[in-house]
Amino acid sequence: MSNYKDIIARKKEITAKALGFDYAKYEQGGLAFDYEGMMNNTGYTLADIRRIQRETGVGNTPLLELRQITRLARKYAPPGKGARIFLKDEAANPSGSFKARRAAISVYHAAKLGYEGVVAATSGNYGAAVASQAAMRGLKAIIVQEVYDSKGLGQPEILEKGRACEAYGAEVMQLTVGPELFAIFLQVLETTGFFNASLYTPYGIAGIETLGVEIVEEVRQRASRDPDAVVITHAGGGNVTGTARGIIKAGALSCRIIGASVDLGGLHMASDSDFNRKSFTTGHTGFSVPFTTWPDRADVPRNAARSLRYLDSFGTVTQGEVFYATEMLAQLEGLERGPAGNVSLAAAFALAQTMDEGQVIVVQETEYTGAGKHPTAQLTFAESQGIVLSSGDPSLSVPGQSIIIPSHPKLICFKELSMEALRLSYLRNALAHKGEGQLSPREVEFLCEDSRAPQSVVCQVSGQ
Amino acid sequence: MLSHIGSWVEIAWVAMTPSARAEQLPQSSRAVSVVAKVRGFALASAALGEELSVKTFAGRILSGTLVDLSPGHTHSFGRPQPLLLAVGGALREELKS
Repeated sequence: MSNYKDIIARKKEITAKALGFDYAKYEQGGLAFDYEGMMNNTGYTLADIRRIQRETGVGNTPLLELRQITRLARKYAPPGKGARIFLKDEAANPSGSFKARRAAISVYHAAKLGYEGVVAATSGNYGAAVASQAAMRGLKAIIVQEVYDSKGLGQPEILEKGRACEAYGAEVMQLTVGPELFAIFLQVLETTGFFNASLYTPYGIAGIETLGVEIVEEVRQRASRDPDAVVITHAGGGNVTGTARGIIKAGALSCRIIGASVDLGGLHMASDSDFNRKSFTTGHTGFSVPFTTWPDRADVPRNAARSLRYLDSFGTVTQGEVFYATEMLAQLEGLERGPAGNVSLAAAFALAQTMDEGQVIVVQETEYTGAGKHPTAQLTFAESQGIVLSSGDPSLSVPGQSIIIPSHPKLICFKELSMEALRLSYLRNALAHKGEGQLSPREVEFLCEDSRAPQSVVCQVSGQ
Repeated sequence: MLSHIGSWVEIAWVAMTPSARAEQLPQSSRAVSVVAKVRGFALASAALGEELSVKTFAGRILSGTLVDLSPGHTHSFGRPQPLLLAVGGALREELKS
């Protein structure tokens, strides 16, 4: 029997072997490291990544204009307002989500380095993406998921993702609730010698950059302008980081990067009793807030997903609003897609109403839908867990207790979080990790880069 | 019922007991073990509740308690949801007016 603490203590050693990536090379003392240096040393250029992804049918997904939903948003917007809403249909990727982009480079790299297989710790679409890419490249895959509460009751959305992994020929290791998932994942890496297809390596993030680039290229072609805003469903930070880096690489420097998460405030992610009281297993604040305010909680020595560097704003929508937006996409645009991918759609519907008519807002992803990964599946399950379902004002819902489906589209609202508060929270977390001693000048500089807080704020928080 | 050699089964085992778990867990998690489940091909004949080794899709040999013979996928689309059934019609009406 293993002990969580003992395994986590060997994290650096295990992950170094399972990645063949020398993180130590980028360390600059204490909290600081050379982020751009690390990101630019994957050995793959953007052109390489596009070629690798094309080999396995990843990317080049359709950009669809949501004409009906735009028309509806304009109905509630002040005169002259109501941006054109576009949607990048990432469900068209081989495994049904943008995660195929992320998996494509990791799996290619693992094959190139001669690994026999890949392992990923994920309860999300990434599992199916790794399994699918591994199948295409002839590698074995093991996916470690958090699925059940201690009574053995599985979250429908994760059960579906497990089924998909199995369909692609992966071994699926299914665990009960808890952060021990990462320790057990490390053990699997150690015992198999497989490649760590972590969500948070430079390869994983570089794979998403193509999504940002494609959005800019296609919007330029279709609307003869750069996108004014891109709304990104925000969880661990990879989606925001990779997409934003791609948008910057494509030169759309004035495009606003907006993160959106489902509000699961009050629910503890490691709690056995809270686990099945949520209807979203990704794209929610249970991941996005902790990862935004301290990215280095991941299964790699340095997380390549660092969303504070890129977010211009970040806000939340409720579970009921996302289910409503999912229904809206199916019924008005003829696109039946999974709910988690539509977090940014709900946000964009509200945000478009604040933007000028001539502007363009892009919903950056969709995901496949199926049994379990569907509003009716989730609402049926929520009701069985004692969650009260009703129609009305979604802002009155309480995560884990109630879901309120908007009684009118006007009630969909994007609730912005304070970026200043998030930056302060990041800085406090950084200082807690620093422990005793003064910050070096490079550490101060790094904290400014990593949080986009002014130096005066970094100095004030650190008392230096 | 017995599993046959080579049949598709599910095994489970305790991956971490409460004392081996992470610190700072919420009470409801601290009280219980982390349980792991895996599906694979049975390497022996066993009855439910007995120890069994399986070979997984990745080729690993793992051992645990046999918990399911012929484990399937039974998650579904759930029941029709009246709150959602009303949305499409209402949105179309909104677009008309």
